[in-house]
Amino acid sequence: MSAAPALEVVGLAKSFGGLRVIEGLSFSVRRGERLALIGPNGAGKTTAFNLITGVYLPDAGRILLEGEEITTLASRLRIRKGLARTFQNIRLMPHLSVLENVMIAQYARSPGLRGMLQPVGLTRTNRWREEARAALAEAGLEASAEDEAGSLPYGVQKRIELVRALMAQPRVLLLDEPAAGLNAAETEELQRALGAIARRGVTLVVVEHDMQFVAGLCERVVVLNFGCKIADCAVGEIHNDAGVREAYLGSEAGEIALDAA
Amino acid sequence: MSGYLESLLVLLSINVILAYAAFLPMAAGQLNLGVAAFVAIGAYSGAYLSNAYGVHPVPAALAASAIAGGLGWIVAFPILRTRGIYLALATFALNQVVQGTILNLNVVGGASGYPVPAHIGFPVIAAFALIAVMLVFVLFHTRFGISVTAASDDERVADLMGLSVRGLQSAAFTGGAVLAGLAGALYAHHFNYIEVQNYGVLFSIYIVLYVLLGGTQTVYGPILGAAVFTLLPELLRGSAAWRYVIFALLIIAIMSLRPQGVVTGALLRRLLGWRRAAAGAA
Amino acid sequence: MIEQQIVNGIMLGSVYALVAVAFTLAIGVLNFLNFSIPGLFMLGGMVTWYVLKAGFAWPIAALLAIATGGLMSLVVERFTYRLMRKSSHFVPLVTSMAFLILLENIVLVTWGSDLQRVEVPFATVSIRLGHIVVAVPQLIGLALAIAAVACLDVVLKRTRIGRGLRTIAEDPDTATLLGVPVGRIVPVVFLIGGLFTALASFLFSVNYQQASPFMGEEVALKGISAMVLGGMGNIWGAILGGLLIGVIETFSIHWFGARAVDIWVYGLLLTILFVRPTGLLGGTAPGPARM
Repeated sequence: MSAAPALEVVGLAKSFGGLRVIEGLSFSVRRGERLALIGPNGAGKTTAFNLITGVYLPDAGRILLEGEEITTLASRLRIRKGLARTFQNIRLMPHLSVLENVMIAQYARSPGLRGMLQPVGLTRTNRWREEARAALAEAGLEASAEDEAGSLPYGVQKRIELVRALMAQPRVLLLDEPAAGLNAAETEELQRALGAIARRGVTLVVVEHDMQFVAGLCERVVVLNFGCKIADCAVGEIHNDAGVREAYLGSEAGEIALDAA
Repeated sequence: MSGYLESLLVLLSINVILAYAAFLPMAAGQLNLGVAAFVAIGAYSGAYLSNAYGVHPVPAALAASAIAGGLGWIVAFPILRTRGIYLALATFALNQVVQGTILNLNVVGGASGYPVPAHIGFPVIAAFALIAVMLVFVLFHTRFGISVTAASDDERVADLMGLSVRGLQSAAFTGGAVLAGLAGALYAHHFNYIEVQNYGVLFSIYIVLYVLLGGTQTVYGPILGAAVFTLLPELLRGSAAWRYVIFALLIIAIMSLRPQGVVTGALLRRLLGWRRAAAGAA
Repeated sequence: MIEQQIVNGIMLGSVYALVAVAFTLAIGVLNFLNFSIPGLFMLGGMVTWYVLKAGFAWPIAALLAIATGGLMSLVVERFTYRLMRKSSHFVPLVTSMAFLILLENIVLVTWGSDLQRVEVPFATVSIRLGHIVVAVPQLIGLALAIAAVACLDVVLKRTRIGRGLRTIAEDPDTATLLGVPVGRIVPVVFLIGGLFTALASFLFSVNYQQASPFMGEEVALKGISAMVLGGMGNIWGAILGGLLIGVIETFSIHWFGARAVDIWVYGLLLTILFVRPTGLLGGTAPGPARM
């Protein structure tokens, strides 16, 4: 008998000042699955992420993480439950070093006063520092550990954000346009890295425009348009779906992208 | 030790405590123009405890800092719902209200000032300053240090990464109030006379300015700021007003040329790098 | 009785109103809390006292005070907003505070800390309206304040400079893109603020016959409360806020004594910030993190 889905949203709805941004959105993601969330600009993909992570409270609907209801759970508590994310525009802390940026996400694993007072900065061999350093080394970023996060190249910062999100040891990882702005080599590297992460059992939900990337990484696709789900199928089948074609129609890049998938 | 030197070191000690009282909220992104209010609360409650109840000045000072901290914690609830300029304005308003309230408390002298016979000598004050500085140093080398900077840099993302931004801000604000109260009570019991007129927003401004001079990016900046503010005027003799003219010009110059203050994260990393290199070569 | 108190309050309030306009202009257009304004106020008042003491006629004193305020405000602009807009957002605020300290202490060094009595070279004429007495200079002050704001309103709405200011208020970067000569217009904000503040301090010193190095702290700082009460960024709000604060102060002195004023004026500020930060007339609320 299968366990509860890693992530499930049921009938999510959200309006901003009269404008319906998300309407009746429902989908679920199995454990270890790689799901892509695609759709034209403005379809509501990042809003969906914001609802799932608790930046906004939904007007209606439910959100369940591994069977547990988190619909109204405070946003800062969701990462403790195993839900982490990266951001469309890189959001690293400019006044912290790369290492410190990555260490921020460790708090979720040892929260409370005790966790806050861990002497992570007193000794060089503190276990949290070592763990963060090792994670950076695994991503090939150890040399930048003491650098100011904001001074590094775009591609490097994106990788740091990923390491930071993984530091919380999430079971579900939301990635908002992880391949945006990366060149071909970086994109391929990212695909490989995410594949490895998924094989370790982390469930991935990826918002992306790069359909080749999606096809190479994800098994299933949920398509949004105007805040509603218009398709939910295996990645190989989307170009057959009429609704999806219509949503992307009029955008030559969209058609080409669809055919490439 | 000469009386003059001792006075100077006492002032330095108190200014260092004040520096960290302002630094804590500023590290959390709050420009606290109400520091002087908590100094006043500490000074007057400490003085009242030793005057009216005969409490020994040292426990009185500790109790005073607890009172200031407690009030700071309570006030933090509404104040921390504001942000940026509104927060600065709210702390400014708080400062004036507290000053105005004490002005009307005849039981502690009101507008005439309040004499404080009980005395705390230099060694005790220096000890307090040392302990306070060490506590702040240790605190900022725990996860609290990076968390508070993260919350100040990007509240939204810090929250999504699991940090309690409100909790951090409240802790910083309250901690600042505790230190401010301690400084106030120590001053009251050393110089044996306090006047509420000295605790207006301009006093908060002086403290904030010399902390910014030292730099708020690291935990070492405030000490430098306090040292410059206390010792520089001694090097350039002159009336008190001239010292502040020079101080103001210095601030304007620093803010034009190096607004992040003298001690920055980058500077520190470079200095530590040299030390490591020297140790490696040795 | 009450009507007299209200009138007294309004007269006092016209001073607060002018200062509040200076504050609100800087906040509305530049998102900048200009803490040097109380310093300019003090400077204008001390210049008024000094010039009158030296025996000059009051128009000369007025002119010199206002000119000083204007000139000093341009110096402040040069070292706060212009130099620092690119770096951290609170730097201009902090530097303006340094200017307040600088001005106050320069005056302390030059003239000492005493409260100076301002000798007014004309007899104070009062008129009676029913059982209310109003000093004519105060009435003129009120009229000037309202007239000045009305002119400013026209400038903001009908002139090219005004349009430039409003564009900058929307978004300084867009303004540059749209060809607004930001570098030439921003000093205008400071200049107007300085002139208004100096006018206020001239009126205050002449009507209340006092000036001191601390008058910035004691009087002009309340202009912040007036600004917020009326609505940040709204110049008519500044007038309304100023007059209200004047009335509140007068009544609080009447009922609770002079020492209680700060509790009322700043308690009100604190309350507004918690309850309705946009103030009475709404007004543009600055961005949450900017100063």
